[in-house]
Amino acid sequence: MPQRISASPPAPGREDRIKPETSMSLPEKEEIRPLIVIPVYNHGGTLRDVVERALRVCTDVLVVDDGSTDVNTEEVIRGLPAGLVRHEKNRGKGAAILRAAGEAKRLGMTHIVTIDADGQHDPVDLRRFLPVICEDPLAIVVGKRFFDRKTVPFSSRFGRGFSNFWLKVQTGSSLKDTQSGFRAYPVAVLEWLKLREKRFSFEIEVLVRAAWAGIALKDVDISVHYPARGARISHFHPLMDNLALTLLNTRLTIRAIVPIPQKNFIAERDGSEMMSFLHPMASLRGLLRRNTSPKQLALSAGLGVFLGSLPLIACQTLTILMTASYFRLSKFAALGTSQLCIPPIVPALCIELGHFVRHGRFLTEISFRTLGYQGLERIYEWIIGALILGPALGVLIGGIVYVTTLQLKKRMTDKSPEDVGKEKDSRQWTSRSVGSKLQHNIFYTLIRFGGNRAAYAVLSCVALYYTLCRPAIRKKADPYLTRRFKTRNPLKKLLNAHRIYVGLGKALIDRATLGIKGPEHMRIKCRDQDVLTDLISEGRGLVLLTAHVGCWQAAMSGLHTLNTPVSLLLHREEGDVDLHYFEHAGGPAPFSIIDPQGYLGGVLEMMNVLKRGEVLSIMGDRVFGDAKSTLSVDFLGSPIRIPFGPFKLGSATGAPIAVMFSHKSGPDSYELTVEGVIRVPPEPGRPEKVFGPYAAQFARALESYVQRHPYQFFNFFDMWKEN
Amino acid sequence: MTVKEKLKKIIIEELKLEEITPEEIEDDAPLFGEGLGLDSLDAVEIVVLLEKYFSVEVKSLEEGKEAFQSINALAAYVEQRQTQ
Repeated sequence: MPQRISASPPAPGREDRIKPETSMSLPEKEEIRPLIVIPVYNHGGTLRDVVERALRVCTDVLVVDDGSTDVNTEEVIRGLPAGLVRHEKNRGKGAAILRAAGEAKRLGMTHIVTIDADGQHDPVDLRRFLPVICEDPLAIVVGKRFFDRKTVPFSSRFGRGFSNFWLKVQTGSSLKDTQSGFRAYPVAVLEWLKLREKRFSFEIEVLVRAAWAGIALKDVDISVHYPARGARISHFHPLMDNLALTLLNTRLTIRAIVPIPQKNFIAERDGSEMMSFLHPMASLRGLLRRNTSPKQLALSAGLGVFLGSLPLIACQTLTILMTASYFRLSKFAALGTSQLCIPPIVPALCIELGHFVRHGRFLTEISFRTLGYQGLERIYEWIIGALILGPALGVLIGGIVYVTTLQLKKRMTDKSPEDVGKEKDSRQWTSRSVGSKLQHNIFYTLIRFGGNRAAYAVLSCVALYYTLCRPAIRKKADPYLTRRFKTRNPLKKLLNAHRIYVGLGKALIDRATLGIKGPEHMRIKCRDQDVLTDLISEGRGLVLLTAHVGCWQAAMSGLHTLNTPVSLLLHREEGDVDLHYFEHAGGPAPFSIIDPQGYLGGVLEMMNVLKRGEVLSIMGDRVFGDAKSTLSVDFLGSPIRIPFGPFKLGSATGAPIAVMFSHKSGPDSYELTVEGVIRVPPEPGRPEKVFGPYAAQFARALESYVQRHPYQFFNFFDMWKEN
Repeated sequence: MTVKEKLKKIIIEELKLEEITPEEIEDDAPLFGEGLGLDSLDAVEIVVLLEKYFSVEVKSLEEGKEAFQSINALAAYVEQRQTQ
């Protein structure tokens, strides 16, 4: 079999596949390497002209001779720098295109652009394809012929419209000219798809299967030239070919409406999802993640309900499936919600409604007469009622589905293992990052109207949900809980996790309550107030060293009895949902905030606070920023890193350091206790070892606290992990 | 000894910067971050030593920012306050 491959083999480095005079300024996608493919079967007369025009536009042209018997194709294109492959026997256009794809792959081309050999297409239109290809290199681009009513016979127009319709039913994609042969195919896609049709019906099957695999179908305008009626050679046999098309369409439609998901090209290629029965949950998750947006699901649900309420005798399921497919909606959801309209309730309601509309009163007599003899009347009323009730129910159910799937979707994107999880892990976890804005707002409303008791009630359900259904979040408390409670019993571990999450939830609720309702709603007792007052009266200021335990906001508001301004070194993270609830409702906040990300970590302000004899509160158990200013100290048996800044400040200014923690002593009360006072002598210089003993004092105090109040400790990350 | 020289000497002593001599500290190099590479806790020391050796208090954030630009700025700040 004589084969002649392109006389100028494409060198890998060459980027100007398209001749300069016809090229446009494209985005730099030099990886697009198109090969023009001209399948020919007995169109020898026009072939040379088409090849010449194609060569003017692109240097790489391949002719696929599908068993032509009218001319010697090699002779016809002699002298032209185009490639040629030949089938000895006619195998069909599909086979020719696939052969060309194989050649293209061998030559390292990325796309093939098929052009008919009969002169209908103008190769110059390739310029219109390129921007679309560059935009989405994986799309199949189909040229859309402009149809002038006068020159195109009706049968062609009908055929085209028919074909377009079926494509939409089968795939939900709409193309204006599904029968056009001027197309660009990505080689990778042709390679991947499993295509059966080898003859002209290939051109339909490839579009449908590609759309199922998630490939986009796009169209561009092209010009079309029809030779005079007589001169046109068509290989279309009306009866046999129509039969073949019908069979194909039936097969494809059935596959389309069967609610088994299709393999997705992109997802399978990059391995992000395995669609197989061996991994049902992963497949489902991938499907949900990829396919359905909340809007889509809601529309599907609404459609299902609407169609379900209509009296589509014997064809309801089929109608629902085909309509869902047409609009590219979820067949699962539509079928599912249509079950809500199973008799007797919805049909009865529809009939009653329709009856009322027609006769002004409700149908009260249910008998063989009204339902049997007058059956047709009832059906008519059913239709009327359904046209009113159906859309209403559809909107209602659709709305409910939308809201719920929106939440679900958000949770699922939270769950996506790699990136989001890692990012959240590396960043230090805060109590604020649990729950969405919506959830937070729901709690705020509860607090506003029901007080914190109401919120606690809802909290127990939410906490149960998190404990049982969100293992990723539940495990965040593990590093601490396993060191505090040395139990192996999984039930006990679950219980501990639950209790600490309830503790956290209550602390958050209390914090919000203080913000929304003001400090009068919380009783905060400071047992060691005298100690604090004495320390303050020394005149060097006071450092309050605290930790993420209890509720610091309660602690801060409890300090107003000291009658000294309090400043807090607090890291305000962006996305802090309840930011404005830090500030108390009305009135000035009882504390001011120093930003550790400010100039020099806020040290100048901190020193001034102490110099003025005021109180400075610093969290001693977490580090922001670099690990240089930390030192290692043992906590619950293993070393953690804590900042030595507070000790440095104490040493530099002579201010005493009081270790103070708060704990929840009742539904509406907190207690503040001073666990110890640390005095750091003026130690000059840098060595952090100098502060070791004082840091150890702090760690001991914290250990003593968690012994007494284990479920009030809220560091949900691995403090002991080496960074 | 000029103010600048005294500053450099004291900074090296108090901050226990072992690898550097007063001559090596550039007058206009930044103190924090690059240049001398001090951090926020060193700033605490500097504030303390300014008070101890020069009786100069850093009253506000703005003053501090200006003064801590470089040795030059620090010296200027100190000289200004000392004449008051």
